[in-house]
Amino acid sequence: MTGEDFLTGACDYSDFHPGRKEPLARIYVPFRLQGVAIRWVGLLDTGGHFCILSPEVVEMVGDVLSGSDQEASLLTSQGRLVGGLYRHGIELLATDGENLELEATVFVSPGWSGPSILGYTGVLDRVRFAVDPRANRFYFGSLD
Amino acid sequence: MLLDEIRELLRDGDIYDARRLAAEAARKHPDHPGLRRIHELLNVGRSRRRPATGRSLREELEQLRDPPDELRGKWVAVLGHEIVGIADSLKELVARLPPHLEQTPLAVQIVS
Repeated sequence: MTGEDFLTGACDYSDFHPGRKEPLARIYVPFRLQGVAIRWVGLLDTGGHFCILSPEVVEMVGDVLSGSDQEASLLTSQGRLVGGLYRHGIELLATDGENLELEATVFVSPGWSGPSILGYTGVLDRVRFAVDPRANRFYFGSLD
Repeated sequence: MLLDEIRELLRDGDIYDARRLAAEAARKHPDHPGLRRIHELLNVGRSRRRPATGRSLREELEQLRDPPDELRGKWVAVLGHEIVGIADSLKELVARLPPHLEQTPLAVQIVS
């Protein structure tokens, strides 16, 4: 497999949240929800499940979430939360190469008060990805 | 029965086993719409490549680095070096965005 097969797009990431001071360095990647004309940053969480949307985002896009209303409970950094699972399109936004739109599993809970999360299960396990920490670049590629 | 078991696992927070069982169940009962649906919800995510629409975060991060006090608690839309919207809520921010922007702005709440 060559690099070109592995990757289809790349973008900058931020190693801090642009709107809140946090004690730890983390990886925030820009993304967009299908049907919404705005970008957010999502915390890349390779130890987490699903895409968790921040409450403000849910308030705005709640009516465009579609699919199952399956209830789930999830252990998060804010404790165990109960919420619903949905299937919704998210788009990783490339500055080089191409964007990647994928069907993600989204968890929505009224108890979540953190930033939006791009978790491993149901999001990151559906793409190839790599990080260049020297350049703060996030690389991604399609599995399909 | 299997569907109830998967739903129960999800309610209990056993995501790993729920996904595994959903995949097995969908393989064994490919014509069962409920099992297919929950398997797709948990395990299947197709992707497709689209034209690039991203833009570098660098200018935007620089713009947001030391926000003035009056922006604390506000939602801000930034496009490059330019702040293109300020509002008390994300919903309001999106509603107030200038029409016909060439690129998608970055929305951030200035918390601290």
